[in-house]
Amino acid sequence: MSGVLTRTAGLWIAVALASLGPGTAASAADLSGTLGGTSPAVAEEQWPELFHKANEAYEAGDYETAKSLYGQLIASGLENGDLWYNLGNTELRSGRHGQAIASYLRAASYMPRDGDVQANLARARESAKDALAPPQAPVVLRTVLFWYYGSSLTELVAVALIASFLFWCACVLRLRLDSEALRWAAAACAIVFAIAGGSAAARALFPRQVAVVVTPAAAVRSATSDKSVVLFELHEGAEAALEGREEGWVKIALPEEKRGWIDARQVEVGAAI
Amino acid sequence: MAVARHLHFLVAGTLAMLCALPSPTIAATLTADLDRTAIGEGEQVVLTLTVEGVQSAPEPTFAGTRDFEISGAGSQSQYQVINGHVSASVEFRYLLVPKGKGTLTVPPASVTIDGETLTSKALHVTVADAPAAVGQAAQDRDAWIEQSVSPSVAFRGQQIVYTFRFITRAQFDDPQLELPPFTGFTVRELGEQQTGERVIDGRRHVVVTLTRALFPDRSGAIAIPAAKLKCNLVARSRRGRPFGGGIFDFGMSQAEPRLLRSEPLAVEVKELPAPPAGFTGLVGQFELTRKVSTARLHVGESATVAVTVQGTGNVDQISEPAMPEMTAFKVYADKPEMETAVRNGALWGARVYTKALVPLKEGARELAAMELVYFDPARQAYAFSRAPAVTLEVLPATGQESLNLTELQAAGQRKVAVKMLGEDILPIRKGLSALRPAIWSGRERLAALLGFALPPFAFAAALAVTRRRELLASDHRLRRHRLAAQVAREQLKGVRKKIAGGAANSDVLAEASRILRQFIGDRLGREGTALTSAEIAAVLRDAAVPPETGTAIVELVRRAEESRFAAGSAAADDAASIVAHVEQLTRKLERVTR
Repeated sequence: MSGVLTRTAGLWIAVALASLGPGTAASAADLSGTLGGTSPAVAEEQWPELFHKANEAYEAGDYETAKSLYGQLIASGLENGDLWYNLGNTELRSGRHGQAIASYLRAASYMPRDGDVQANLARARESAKDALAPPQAPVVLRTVLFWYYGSSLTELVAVALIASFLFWCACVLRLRLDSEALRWAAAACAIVFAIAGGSAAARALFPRQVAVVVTPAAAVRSATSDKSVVLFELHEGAEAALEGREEGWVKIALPEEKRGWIDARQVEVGAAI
Repeated sequence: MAVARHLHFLVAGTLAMLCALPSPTIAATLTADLDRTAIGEGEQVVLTLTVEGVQSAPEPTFAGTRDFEISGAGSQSQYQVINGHVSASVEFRYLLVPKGKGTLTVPPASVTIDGETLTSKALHVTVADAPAAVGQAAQDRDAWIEQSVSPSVAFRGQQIVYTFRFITRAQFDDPQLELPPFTGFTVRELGEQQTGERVIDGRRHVVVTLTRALFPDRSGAIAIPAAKLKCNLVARSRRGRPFGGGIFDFGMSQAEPRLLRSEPLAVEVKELPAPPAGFTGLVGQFELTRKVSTARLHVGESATVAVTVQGTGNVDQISEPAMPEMTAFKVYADKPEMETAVRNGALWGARVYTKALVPLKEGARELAAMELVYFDPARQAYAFSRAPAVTLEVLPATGQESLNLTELQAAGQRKVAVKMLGEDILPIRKGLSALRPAIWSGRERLAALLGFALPPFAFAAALAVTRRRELLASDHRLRRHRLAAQVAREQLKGVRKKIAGGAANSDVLAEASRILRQFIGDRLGREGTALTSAEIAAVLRDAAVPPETGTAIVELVRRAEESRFAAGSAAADDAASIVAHVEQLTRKLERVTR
C-alpha cells in the first residue's frame, strides 16, 4: 500500500497544483488584443443585464456594441465557453474571421465537445486564405487519448478529485475491512485518478497554444526585428503552433519545418487542445 | 575469394589516391562556343559555356539585352588525371532561339568562382531568310510539331477538337511539352496520349498525338499561340550506325537539344443566334429521354422516373430539364449521375436525373411531355428533343389505411442526399449558463486543494491509530508501559471509593502500596506487586529516576510494609493524603520513565 502511495505522490502533487488554475486558458496579455484593452470591469450584479444587452445588440446587428459588452463581461472575470462562443460569432459577423477563430478556440478549450462551437469554427476557417491545416494532434492520438482531447481542464481536475477522494476512502476502509472488493475499488480509483490527473497535469503544466493571424497579412521573419528577413507571409485566419514569446514577438511553427517570428500585434493567441 | 579481396583493396586504393590528389590549381576560365554562327529563320543554335579549371561551378548568368530566347539544356562536369596532370571543367549547354533576323548578339555570360567573376565574350549569329524549320521540307527534318483545330470556325460553346502532333524519325529523350494557354476557351481532355507511326516520303516516323476539346467562352477571333516542345534528339549519322544507336548512346555526345515550335492558330467564333425559351447553353447534338419503371402502381407505392440528357458537345452545361409539375405525387429526387467519354473523337456525356414518385391519389396520372432546347452547330439552328407524355395508372392503396403523408419512407426506397440550401453560423447562447464562470473562484480552488489534501491526511491518521492498536495488541510489555498510568488512576479511584466507604487507613496504605508497585512494574517492565522496598530502590536507581522521587516512593512502600506487619503504625496517616501522594508519585514517575 505504501509503495503505491509513494509512486502516486508526485502525480498527486501535480494534479493538486493543476487544480489551482483550471480554466485559465487566456492570460491578460492574450485577452488585451481580443477585447481591445478598453473594457472596464463591471460588478457581478450587473452581469445579467450586460449579457442581455450584448445579446440584444447582436440580434440587432450592432456587432461592435455586442463585442464591447461581451468583452466587458470577460474582463470582469465572467469567462466561459458560451461567452467566448458568442464573442466569436460577433467577430465573424463583423468580418474579423481571424479573431473569430481565436475566440472559438478559447470556447472549445472550455467546451471541447460542443457541436456548435466546432461548426462555427469550421465555418470561420473556411474564410482563411492560407491552405494550412489547423495545428492539431494526429487523429490516432485524438482517438486513443479521447478523454484528453474531449475534456476541458476543469472536467479532468474534477474527475481526478473525485477519484482521489474515493481512492483514499477505500484505503481507509481497507484498514478495517480486509475486503477484496475494496482492493479492486481502490485500484480502479487509482487508475482513474492517474489517467485524469495525469491528463490534467499535462494540460495545466504544458498547455498547447495556437497563434491566429488577425491582420490581413502578416510577415513571418527570421528574427525578432522588423529588419530581419521575411521568411514567408501568412494571412488572416492562418493558425500556427505557438513555440515561444519574446518582447513584442511570438515564435510560430508550421508543418514542414516552417517557423519564424511574427509581430505579436498581428496574432491572437488561443488555447489548443 | 582472395582475388576479390585484392580487387577491393585495389579499387579502394585507387579511389583514395584520386581523392588525395591536389585540386587543380590552374586559374579558372570561362569560354563560350556556338555550334554554328549562321542559321535560317526559325532555326536555333546551341551555346556551350565551359568553365575550365574547376570541378563544380554555379549556373552562369547572362547580361544585357537578349536577341534570343535562352533555355537551359543541361550541364556536365569532367575530371581527368592523365600522366599526373589534372584537368577539370564544367560545361553548360543552352538552346538559343532567335527572336528576329539579321546579325544577333549572344550576350556575354558571367560566373563567379572563388570570389572572382569570369565573363565570356559576346558572340554573334547571323539569322538569314532561309527556310525555317517549320516550313522545311519534311525530308530535311528530323522532328517537328504540328497543331490544328477542327473546325476553325465555330459557334460560341461549340466543341472544337484541338490536335497536337509530335512527328519525328529520330530517337528522342526528355521531352518537355508546353501547350498553348488556350485563353478564351474552356478545355477538357480528350482521351490519352496516342503514339503511332506514319510513313512520310518513304521514311518511317513516330507520331505522338494529344487532343483537347475546346469550348469557346466568347465570340470573335481567338488566337491559339504556338506550342513548344523541348527535347534531346539523336543527331542523324550519314554513315549509319551498325547497331542503330539507342537511348543510352546519348551520353556519348550524340544527343542534340532541340526546341520545336508549331505555327500559331486562330479560331473564328460566332455568336449564337437569339435563343428560344428554355435554352440553357447546350451546344452540340443532344437527346432527351425519359423512362418510367412501371406504368401501373398502387397509392403509396413508388415508381422511378429517369430523365437522361445525353449527347456530344459542351456536356458540362447539361442541367436538369424543366420538370412538369407533379402535384399528385410525392417526389424524392436522387443525386444526378454524370458519365463522360470520348466517342468518335469528341467529348460525349450523359447526365441522369432520377426521381422516385409516390402517387397520393388513385386514377390516371399523366406526366406531361418534356422538352430540351439546344443549339446544333451542324444545322446552325436551335433544335428540340422531346420526351412524350407518360400516363401512370394509379390503383387504390392495397393496405387498410390510407397513405400517411408524414410517415417515413418505405424500406428500400432510395435515400435523398441532403442539400445545403444556405450557409450561416449557428446562433449565440442566451441561456443562464453563459453567466456561470468556467474558471474556478478562489473559494472553489481552495476547496479543490483541500479535497486533494485532506483525504491523505485522514488516511495517515487512521493508519497511525490502526498501527498503534496493532502494536499494543502484539506487545504485552509495551501495552503495560503505555497503560500503566491509566490503570493506576482507575485503581486509585477505587481506593477513594473504599475510603468513602470507611475503609481502614492500613488497608488504604496497603492498597496504595500495591498500586504503586504495580505501576512501577508496568512502567519499568517488572512484576511490581512482588517487589520489596529495597528492590524498588534498586530498580528506580537503574531506571535513573531522580533520587527524591525514588526516596519518596521507597518511603511510601516501606511505610506500607510496616503498617502491614506492625499494626497501628499507619494510624497517623490520613487515607486521602496517601492516595493523593500515590497519585502524585505516579505522575512524577510517568514523566521520568517515558
